[in-house]
Amino acid sequence: MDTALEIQGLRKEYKGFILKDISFRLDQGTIMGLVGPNGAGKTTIIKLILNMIRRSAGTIEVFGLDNIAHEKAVKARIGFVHETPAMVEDAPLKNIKTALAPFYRSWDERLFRRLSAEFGLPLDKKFKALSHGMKMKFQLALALSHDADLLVLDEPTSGLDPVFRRELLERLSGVIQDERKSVLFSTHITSDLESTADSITFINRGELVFSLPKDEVRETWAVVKGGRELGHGSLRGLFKGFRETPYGVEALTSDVPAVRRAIRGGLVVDKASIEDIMIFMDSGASHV
Amino acid sequence: MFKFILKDFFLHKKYILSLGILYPLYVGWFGSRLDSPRVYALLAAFMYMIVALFPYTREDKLKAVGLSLSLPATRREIILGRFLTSWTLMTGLWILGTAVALLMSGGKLGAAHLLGLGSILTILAYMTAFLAVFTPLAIRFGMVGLMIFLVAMQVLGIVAMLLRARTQTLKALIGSVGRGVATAQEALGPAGAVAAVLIVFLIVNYASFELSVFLFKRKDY
Repeated sequence: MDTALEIQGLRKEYKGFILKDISFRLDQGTIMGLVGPNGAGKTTIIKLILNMIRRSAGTIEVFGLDNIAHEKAVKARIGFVHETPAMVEDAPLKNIKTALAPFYRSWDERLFRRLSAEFGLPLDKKFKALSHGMKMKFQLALALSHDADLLVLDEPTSGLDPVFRRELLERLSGVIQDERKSVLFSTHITSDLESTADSITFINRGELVFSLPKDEVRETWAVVKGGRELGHGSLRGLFKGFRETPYGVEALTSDVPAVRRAIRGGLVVDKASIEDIMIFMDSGASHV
Repeated sequence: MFKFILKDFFLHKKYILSLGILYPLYVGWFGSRLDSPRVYALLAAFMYMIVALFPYTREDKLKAVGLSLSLPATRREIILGRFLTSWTLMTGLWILGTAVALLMSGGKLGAAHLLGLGSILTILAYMTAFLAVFTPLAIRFGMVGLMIFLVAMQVLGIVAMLLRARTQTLKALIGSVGRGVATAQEALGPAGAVAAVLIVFLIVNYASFELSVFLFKRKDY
């Protein structure tokens, strides 16, 4: 399978936040969920892909091309949807479209008209007059109308009503029916990924926790439920996070066989959902 | 490159059209009351530069620079687009403003003053200087930085005026620059002098462009 996006050793340093040596790969014809709590570094990665911020180290290749050395060619193939879009807010939609369309050789005006009608976009209205959902729809219409091969969506479902959220997710699944196309989709709403994503890249506090096919995440990560001995001594290293409950302790692990070897009997092991992983990782320091 | 001009026009259409009418009318009317072509050129160039920088300062204010950065264009091309838009706007406004000044009844500056080679070179010099200074400043410090710079320049102007009363250094400096230019003009002849001045304008524009690209490439959005 060809690679749509490959990131190696990506690093970005800010005062008070460091994105540390992120590496992952997105295959063509797939959807990747870029997951992590707020402030994990998801938007930083997306901005680095679009060269909106400078990287401190590492490489980003889009369809085999370095995103800075071949910036123009790379961006021509990327469609971008942002939670808080960088738009000239007081311009009408039709003006924004007229301003942006000439930059794309593959711009399909008929497709844009069709999508605008489908989404019910009021093209005469100013961007700032639109609801959050409509703003997302407009950005999506722009991204799809230039036949982007890689859709990069930063928290696209955040703040959307359930109806449009489902519509958007279905549309994303539809996009990758064309196997040349891929989607990188950042979110902290984990339920969006269960039905849509093929692979998950999990970021926490600027660090890569894992980047795996979704099925492998289910097989690898588990929530172990047991007594308070789970938080003691040598066992600690087996767990990524703990949670005290009225009935004992729950812990997150990516190494179930090792946990079973260390503790014989008295354990309940459940497959971890992405939400479980996020909750445990976020409270990883709350050891018992 | 035309698409960059088009982009700025469509994204800021209302403002460009309204200021593009208001400013030349004001400059034309006010300019017709002036009797110094140099002061007219200074006023016009400054006003037109404000409009020329408007797309950038608005995008900075609206935090919309990211829109340009998400387009298939390099940062260098984006800055080149900025310069082209700025010069297109300034030239267009200058033509309009001059027409208004000529049409105003009772104007003190006639066609000979407004359309003379000296006047054209003077206004080009001011436009070049303003754009060369303000574009990199706007990129590095945004609209707020630009305002601070303008206020600082006003303070500096007041200080210079106060110092002028005490020392002749500034006056002597300006005088020596003027004499140097006059000597060069004599040596080069009329056509050579014009060519030299235009080359200087190009060099200043180019230097400002390269500085702007340098600053833009190092900024996170």
